[in-house]
Amino acid sequence: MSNGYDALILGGGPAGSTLATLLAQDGLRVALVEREHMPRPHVGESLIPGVLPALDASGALPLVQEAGFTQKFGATYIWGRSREPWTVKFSEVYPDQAFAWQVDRARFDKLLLDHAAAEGVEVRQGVTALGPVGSADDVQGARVRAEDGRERALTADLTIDATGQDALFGRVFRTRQYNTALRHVAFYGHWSGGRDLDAVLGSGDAKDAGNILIVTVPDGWIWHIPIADTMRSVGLVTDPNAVANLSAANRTDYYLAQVRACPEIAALLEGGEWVSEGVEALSDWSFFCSRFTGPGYLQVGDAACFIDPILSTGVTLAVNGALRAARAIRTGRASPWLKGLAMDWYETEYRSIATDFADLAEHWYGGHADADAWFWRAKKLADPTRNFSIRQAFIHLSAGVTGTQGAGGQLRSAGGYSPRQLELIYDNLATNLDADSQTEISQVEARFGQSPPRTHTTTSVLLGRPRLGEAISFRAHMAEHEELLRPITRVTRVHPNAGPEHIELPIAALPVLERLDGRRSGLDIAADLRERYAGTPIERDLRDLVSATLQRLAETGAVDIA
Amino acid sequence: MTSDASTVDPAVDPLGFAVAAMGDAATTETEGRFAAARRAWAVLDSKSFPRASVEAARTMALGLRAMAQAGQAVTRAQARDAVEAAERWLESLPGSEQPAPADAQEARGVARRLATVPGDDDHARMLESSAMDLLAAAQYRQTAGDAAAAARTDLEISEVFAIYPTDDRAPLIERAVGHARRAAATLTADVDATAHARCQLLLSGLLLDHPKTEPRQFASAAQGLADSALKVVDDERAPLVAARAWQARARALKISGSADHKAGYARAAELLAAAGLAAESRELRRQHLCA
Repeated sequence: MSNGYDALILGGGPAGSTLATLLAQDGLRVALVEREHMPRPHVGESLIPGVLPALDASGALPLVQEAGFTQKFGATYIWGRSREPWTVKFSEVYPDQAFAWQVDRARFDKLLLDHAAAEGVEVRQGVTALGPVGSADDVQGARVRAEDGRERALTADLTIDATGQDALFGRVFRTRQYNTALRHVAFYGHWSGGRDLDAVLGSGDAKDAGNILIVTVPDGWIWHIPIADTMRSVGLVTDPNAVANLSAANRTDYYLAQVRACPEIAALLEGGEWVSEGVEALSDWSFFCSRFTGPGYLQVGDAACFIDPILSTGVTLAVNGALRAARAIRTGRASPWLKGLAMDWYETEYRSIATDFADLAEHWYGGHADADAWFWRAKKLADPTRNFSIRQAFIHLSAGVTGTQGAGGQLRSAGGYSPRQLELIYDNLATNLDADSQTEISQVEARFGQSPPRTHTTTSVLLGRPRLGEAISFRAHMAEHEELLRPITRVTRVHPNAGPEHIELPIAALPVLERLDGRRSGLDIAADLRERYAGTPIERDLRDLVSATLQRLAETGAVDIA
Repeated sequence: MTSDASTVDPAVDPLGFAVAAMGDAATTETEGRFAAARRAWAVLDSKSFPRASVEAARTMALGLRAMAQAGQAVTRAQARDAVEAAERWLESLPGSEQPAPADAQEARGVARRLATVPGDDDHARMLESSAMDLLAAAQYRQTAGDAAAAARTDLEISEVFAIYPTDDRAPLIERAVGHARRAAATLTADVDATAHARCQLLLSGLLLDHPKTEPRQFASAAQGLADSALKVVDDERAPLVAARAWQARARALKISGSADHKAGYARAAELLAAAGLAAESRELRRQHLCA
């Protein structure tokens, strides 16, 4: 390409900086353009422990640790009809990842960008990305504008949109889709002084001082983030329709009135001072782009999808997306024949994590209408087990620890949990569910249908007639293997009592699955494949492959043996 | 079946892809052979394809060894996969079979050395395992009486001893020098120019690394060895070896106080980039060429 870059990254926020760093560390020639000059003001922000692995991988973790940000060990909520505070500590589930930080994003983002530059990334600040070079089917770079107004095209093998909520490629390619259930607006500002959370709540644990506090108020909810010893970020998230007609001055008055009317927030700000010139407004309209990757490009961070800030997942999603993108790109370069699968894996993984967070956020707002909903009941659990009680499941997700499949992966908007998890929740709840919730759960379960019990026999798999399960699908996928990805076949089965389950089979099993049509036996399939691959080095192994594949499927109940 | 894996999508026809890749591996050499075998290896898991996967593993392990011997750059990811492949190959072999164990152990030893860098948690352990593999292979070589193969193994042993981190490096460096000298005596420039150049530049570095000698005193000799490597190495066929030779020369010049060392580092950085080691090239420039 004319500029000779392996990767061109548009945007110098956490997603762009982290991905740029990881790619430069892999030996790629990387350029990054950032519209602003760091440090620049940015809302928030409250991090969650899920950022740690990605920061560690990029080498930024020691820098963040040394930067002196406020340590955050958990989160405190006042949500619903009761004003009883509810605190969760990350150490309850993840003793090794038991903290994060409350960060001043101006400093945090600069730190990550400087680290990228130190690792060999060519960083250009004050350069605005205007749009892609090429089409959605063949992105070759980006058009950019320098501060002197001159425009030029930068080309690269791979162009990465990390432009945050601007979602440059999502807008240009018209792939951005808003979540109508999560349309909010945030007004925020900074305060100096005030009191610590542990003192105001009388919790007796000094570590609570670093917690984020989230409080429900009549018009929405308020966050309180102690981003430094003497500095707090306080924001109000509300319905955009309710404030649409307010002028800038009236917005500040409205914000201050809401903040001062909330007794817990008012107590925290007692003796403090409002130091912002006026209230800042931010649109919190959650969205997903319909595709995160395409020929020559990839989207990461808020540029791919933006989730409501209720769970503080923004930076965690961004850096974990970057980590996965780097893994996919690394795999594609090391094994070009796997590039397509690797990119597909990136999109699936990233979308899956983001969807879990979005589902939980949606559920949260749903729970707001009913103070006795799930999470409010969950606080009453005295001794959560490792088997993901509702409290653990909540902490697991609110910690943002990604990559542990199974817990968050099954969340669905109906009640927030898969039927299997709901069953665990029943077992762990100290109180009975209310009638409405029980009805709702029953309806969810009913949607998965009922199947007659299967009777397995000891008949040889090869002699039996395999039948597809009623809800089985399969596709080529990638599985993580150290820093690289390996091709596998991912079989997804909707189990009548446990929701979707994934089975991983060797990629070579794909032709076997494709031949499972409910009519051919294992022997038929083996014969078919052996005929096709007669005289090749794999001929002798094919019979075992068919057998192993069917055995595995039968063990999980996806295929009948008898 | 087609014999060109580039025309088959592994996500659509994984078995066809594997068969084509194995065909490619049989008809190409060195890096192409390794890459083709690696494609087949990625698809043919050892449980489902016990026979075919061993063949892919064998080709892959030998392919990576050939790359290293030819002075081509090997990534850690490639080397890690080759370690795994060599292990699979070794597991499949009956203990008494000859001469396969020597090739398999040497291939694993070479891959293990290339799969680790300083700073890895298991760096020392990997180098120790590499040395054990190579020493075992050397024993087989001696028994078989294959002088050229034994010399190649000597060279690989010297490479490992030269980088093994330990408090007292003197005895290891002396052993490394012994192995490199033995290798150089057999692998002359006429026999294998790249291997000869590797021996010379290794000896150049070892002269300067010995903790009981004064580097300045040996700088001139080290430069001479690096120059003799540069005389025989082909920049285009083995850019990595050429880069290392330029680095060795530049290091010796720097120690002797000559300003010419910067030109040597600059050339080494160019060749590293040409060998596909962009990050190392940048780091070299940062360390030696930035004011």
